[in-house]
Amino acid sequence: MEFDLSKPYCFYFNEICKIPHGSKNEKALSDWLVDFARAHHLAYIQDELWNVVIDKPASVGYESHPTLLIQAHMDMITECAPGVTHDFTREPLELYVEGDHLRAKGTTLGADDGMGCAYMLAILADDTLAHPALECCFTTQEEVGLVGAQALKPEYFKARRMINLDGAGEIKTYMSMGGGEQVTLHKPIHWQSNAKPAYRVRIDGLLGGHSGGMIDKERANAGKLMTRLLAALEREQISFEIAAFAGGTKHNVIMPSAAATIVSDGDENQIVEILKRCEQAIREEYELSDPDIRATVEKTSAERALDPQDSADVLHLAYLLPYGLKARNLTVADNPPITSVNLGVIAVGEEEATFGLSARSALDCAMEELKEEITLLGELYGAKAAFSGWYPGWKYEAKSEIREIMKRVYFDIYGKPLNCLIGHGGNECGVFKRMFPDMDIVTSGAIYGCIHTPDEFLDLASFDRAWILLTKLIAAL
Amino acid sequence: MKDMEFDLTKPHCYYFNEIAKIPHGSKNEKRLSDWIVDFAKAHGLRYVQDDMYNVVIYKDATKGYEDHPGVIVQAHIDMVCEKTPESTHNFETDPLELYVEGTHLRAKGTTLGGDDCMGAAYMLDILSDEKLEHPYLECCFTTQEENGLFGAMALKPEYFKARRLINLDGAGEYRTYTTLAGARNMTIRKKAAQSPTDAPAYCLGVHGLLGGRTGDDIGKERANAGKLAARLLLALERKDAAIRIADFVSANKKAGIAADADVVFTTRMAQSEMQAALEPIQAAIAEEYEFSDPDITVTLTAAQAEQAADETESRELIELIRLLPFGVFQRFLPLDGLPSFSANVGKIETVEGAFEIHYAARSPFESCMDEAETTVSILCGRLNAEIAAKNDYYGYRYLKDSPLRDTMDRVFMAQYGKLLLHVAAHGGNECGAFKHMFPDMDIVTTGAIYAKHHTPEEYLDLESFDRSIRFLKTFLTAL
Repeated sequence: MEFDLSKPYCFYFNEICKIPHGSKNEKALSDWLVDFARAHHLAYIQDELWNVVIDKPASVGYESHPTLLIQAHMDMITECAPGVTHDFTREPLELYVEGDHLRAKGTTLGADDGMGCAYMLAILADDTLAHPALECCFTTQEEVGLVGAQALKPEYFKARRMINLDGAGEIKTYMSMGGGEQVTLHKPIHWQSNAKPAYRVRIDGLLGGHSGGMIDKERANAGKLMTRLLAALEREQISFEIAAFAGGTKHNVIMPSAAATIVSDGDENQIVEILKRCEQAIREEYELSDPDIRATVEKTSAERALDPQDSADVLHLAYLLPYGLKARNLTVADNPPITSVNLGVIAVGEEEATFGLSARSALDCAMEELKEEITLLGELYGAKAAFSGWYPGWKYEAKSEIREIMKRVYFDIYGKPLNCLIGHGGNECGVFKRMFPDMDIVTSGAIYGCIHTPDEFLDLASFDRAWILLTKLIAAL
Repeated sequence: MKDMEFDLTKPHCYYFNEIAKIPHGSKNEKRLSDWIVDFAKAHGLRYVQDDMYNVVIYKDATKGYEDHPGVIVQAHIDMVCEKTPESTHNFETDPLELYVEGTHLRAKGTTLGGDDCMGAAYMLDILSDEKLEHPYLECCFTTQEENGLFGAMALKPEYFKARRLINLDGAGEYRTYTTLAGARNMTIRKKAAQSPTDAPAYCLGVHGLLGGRTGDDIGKERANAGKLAARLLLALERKDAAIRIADFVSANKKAGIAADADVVFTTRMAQSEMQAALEPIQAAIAEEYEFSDPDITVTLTAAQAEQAADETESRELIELIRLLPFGVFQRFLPLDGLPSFSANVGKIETVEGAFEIHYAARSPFESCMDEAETTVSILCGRLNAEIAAKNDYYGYRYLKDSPLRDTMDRVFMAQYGKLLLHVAAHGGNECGAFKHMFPDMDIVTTGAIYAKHHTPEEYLDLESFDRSIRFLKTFLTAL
C-alpha cells in the first residue's frame, strides 16, 4: 500500500515523524504545533509541560452545538531493535511501508499516539469539514505516567464531551478505564547469623503478564505461591527462618517467578515432601489457567537469616497481601474487572523487606479502600505503605449521549454494531473525567499494533477508514 | 386438566409412598434406616448399617456383568422439615399426606422430601428389580445431609469397592453436575470481656443488602453487611473514635451472605463528627455497589449500652472482620468463570465474653480450604482471636476425562435425542465425601425433577419421575 502524503492525515503523520518526540522530549514538537496554530490563525494554549490546546470555531450551521474536545498524546515510547542505534533526541524516524503496515526502520513508530495527533491536525487544517467548536488537546508525557494530562488546567476547556484518540482501534470504543497506583510496603528487618541447613526454593513456569490486561485470566502469582509453600511448612510445625526472598521487578507485572532461601533444623525429607505436596495441590488448582507451574527445592547454604520474629512477620504479611480481582462489572458482557491488585515485587534487602503492589480501579473510592486494606495489613506487621504513580480511573456509566451517537454513525458506515468495551489499563480519559465529572467520553482511532516495541505498525487501510468514521462522527455532533 | 395418578403399581412410586409413611427428618432417620435394613433382609441382600444410620446395600452383578466394574448409587434419606403456619403436622410421628396436583406430587402443608427420597425410592426399585441387568451395585443411603452432610462424612472406605458413583441428589433429569464445591466452616472466637461504660452509646446499622447463598450468589459482587460495618467502624477508628463494642450482630444464619448488621458501641466522639467521618465511606459504598447491591442503607442512631469490650479488643475485632477475605478468589475460566475458591463472612454474634464470627471457605479443592484456614489463623494470631471450631465437607473438581460421564452422555442422547447438560456449580453435595475417600472416583449426578425443596411448596414432577427411572435403569445396564 502507498503511504500517500496527499492525504492530510498521512502528511501530518509524516511531519510529526520528522521531529523527535520521545516522552519528556516534546518541546520541539509542541513548538511545531504552536507554529501550526499560528499559521492557521487558530487560538492556542501552550503550557509549561508543553501541552498544547488548539481551538477551532464551529463550522457554519454548528454554532449552537456544544463544544467538542478531541485529544491525543504527542509523546512516544522510544525503543530500538537489537543492534540498531537511533538517537531519539535528534534523528527523524525512517518510515517505510510493508504490505498495509506503516513502520519505522529499527525503531518504534510512535503511531501511539502520532496517529491521534495527525488526525487532529488534519481536522484543524480542513475548512471543508462540518463540526462543532473544537478544542484539540495534544498532551505530553503520557507514556511515563499521564504526566502532561494531569497538569492540564480546567480553564483550558469549555467542552463537556470528548473523543480520545488513544488506542481504541477503529472497531471499538472504551466506556471505562482503570485508574492506577503503586503501593510499596517497607518492613524494617534484622538479621542474625545462621548455622542451620539451608534450602533454596524456586517457583517458576508461570504465565505472568501485564496486570492491566491479564489480572482476570486466573493466572497464579509466584510471590503468593511462594508464601503458600512456606506457610505449608509452618502449618506442619516445621520451624524455619527466611534467609532470602525475591521475585519480580515491576509492580504491574504478575510475578512470573520467585525464589526464597530458608534455614531450618527440620527433617530434610519432611520439608521436601511437604513442599512437593503443596506444589501438587497448586498444579491441580491451576491446571486450566496456568498449567506449567513448577516448584523446586535444593540444599544450599546461608550465613545469615532473618531473626525469627521478622521472618514470621515477612511471611505472614506477604501471605495476607491481596492479589487478583477484587470486583467485576456484572452489568456488561464478559464481566470485566473494576478493581484488582497485583503483587509485583518482593525483595528482602539489607535493612528492609519491600513489597510492591499495583492497585487498579475504575472507581477512585474502591482504590482508596484497597489502599486502606494494604495499609492496615502493613501496620499489623510493622510495615509502612508508600504510594506513587497515581492516575485516576474513568468509571462506567450506563448512559452516554456521545456513545449513542457514535454507535449510530458507526453502524451507518460499517453495517455492524460498534464494540463497546471496558478496559482495566489506564489512559488519559480518567484525568478529564476527574477535572469534569460531567465529561461525556468516547475513544476512537485507527488500528496500530505491537506498540512500545520496534515492531510497532500503523494499519494504513484502517488509518483511511477511521478518518472517515472520525469526520462523520464530528459532523454528527 | 385432570390430575395425574400417583400409581403405586410402579415400584419407584410404591417405595416413595412407603418412605413417606415413616418420619425421616434430619437426625431422625433411625426408623427409616431400620426399615431399609428390613428391606435388605427381605430381599436377601447384604448390607451395612452404621452408627450414623447410614445404610449400604450390596447387590451382585447380573449374569454377563460379572466382570464389569461396580457402581455406587447414592441418595440421602433425611429431609428438611418445614410446614405452613396452619399445619399441625408433627414431623416426629406423623406420616406425610401425599396428594397430586396436576403432574406434581405434594405433601399437605409440609415439605415433601422429594429431596431426596426420590433417590432413595429409585435405589429400592433397582434393588428389588430382578429383571434389570446391571453391574455389581453398592446402594448407599446416607443420613443428616441437610444439616451438614454428616452422614456422608462418616462413611468408611471399607464400605465400598466401586470407583464409579451415581449420585441421585438434585441434578434434575436433564443435567449432571461435573464439579461441586466443598466447604470448611470455621467459628472464629475473639475473646473480649465486657466492662461497665458510661460513654454515649450508638448503633451503626447496615441494611438493605441482597445477601444470598454462598454457593450460588458469592460471585454476584454483592456486599456483605458485616464487612461493611467493619469498614465504616474502621473509618471512625482512623479518626481516633476509641470505640468500645457492646454488641456486634450480623446476618441471621450461620451461612449465607450477611444482609444486615447492627453494631452497638460507645465512644466519646461527637455524633456529628462521626457522621462526617462516615459520609465519604457511605458515598463510596453507594458507588461501588451501584449496580450489584443498590439499596444499601447506613444508619447511626443513639443506643443503650451499660458495658462493652475494651478499646483494644474492639479495635482488633474491627480489623479482623475488615481483613477477613470475602468473595471469589479464583475462578475456572473454561467453565464460564465458575468460582473455584471463595469465602464468606457469615453470622457474627456476641456471646458470653466473646464475639463469634462464622466463616466459610468453599472450593472443590481441599488445598484451597487449607489456604483459607491458614489466612484465618494468621489473622487470628496477630489479632488475638482463635478458630474455636471447624468442620469440613468435600467437593470434587472438574475432570476433563470421565468415562462414566461419557457413557451417560451417550445413553442420554439415545433416550432424549438431545445433549445432556453439563453443569459446573459452586454449591455442595455428598459426592465430595466419596472423592475424598477415593481420589480416583468417577462421579455423575442424575435424578427426577423436584422443586421448591426446603419449603412446604415442595413438589416432585411425576412425569419426570417416570422418565428418569427409565433413564437410570438404561444407564445402569450400559455400565
